[in-house]
Amino acid sequence: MIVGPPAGIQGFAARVIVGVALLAPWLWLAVLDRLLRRTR
Amino acid sequence: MYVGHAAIAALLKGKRPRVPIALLVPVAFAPDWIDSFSHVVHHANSNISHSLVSVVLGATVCGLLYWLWSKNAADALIVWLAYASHWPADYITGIKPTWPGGPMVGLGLYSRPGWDLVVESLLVVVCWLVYRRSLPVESRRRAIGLLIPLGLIGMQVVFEALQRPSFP
Repeated sequence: MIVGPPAGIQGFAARVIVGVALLAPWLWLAVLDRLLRRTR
Repeated sequence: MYVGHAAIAALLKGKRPRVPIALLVPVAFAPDWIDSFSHVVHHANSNISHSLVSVVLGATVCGLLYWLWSKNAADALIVWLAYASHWPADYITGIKPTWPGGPMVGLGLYSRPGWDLVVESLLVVVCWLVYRRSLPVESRRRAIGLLIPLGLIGMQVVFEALQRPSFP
């Protein structure tokens, strides 16, 4: 998916972006699936 | 591939609703988590994270662990598939290693960002339609369900834009 980040500040920013990119679909689907499977 | 992995996890959840999607999504992204962590510890090696051999090995370890925990072979197979799907999915969009010393293979769709977006978006929609069938009937009609494909496609657009400032 993702090419390795460069070093330094840019590298840190790239790692943060990669972390957010990996977490976002995980949280998105986990929360929405829970909401959609909740029976009223 | 980016959100396509999450879409495949949703499809597998649709096929086997007992397996938590909160497990399937990170398992589907596992090679990317390994790659990301290996960059943090400065030992980046795509053979360890993304080669055909490492993906089959990782999928088997995860499948076996889930089987030991759940005692359900069909559920464990779903976990195995979530992990193993990473390599063929990345084959479409990137160039990936096969085995140590082996050839790098792939269709390299990343070089055509517009087409990558189209393919991943179509995959998201198809997988969401399969996933949706596993929901309670009253939930299938809820508008909030549309947030799944729309959100994933939105993430893909942002991902493409961040990777290539000239996109689209």
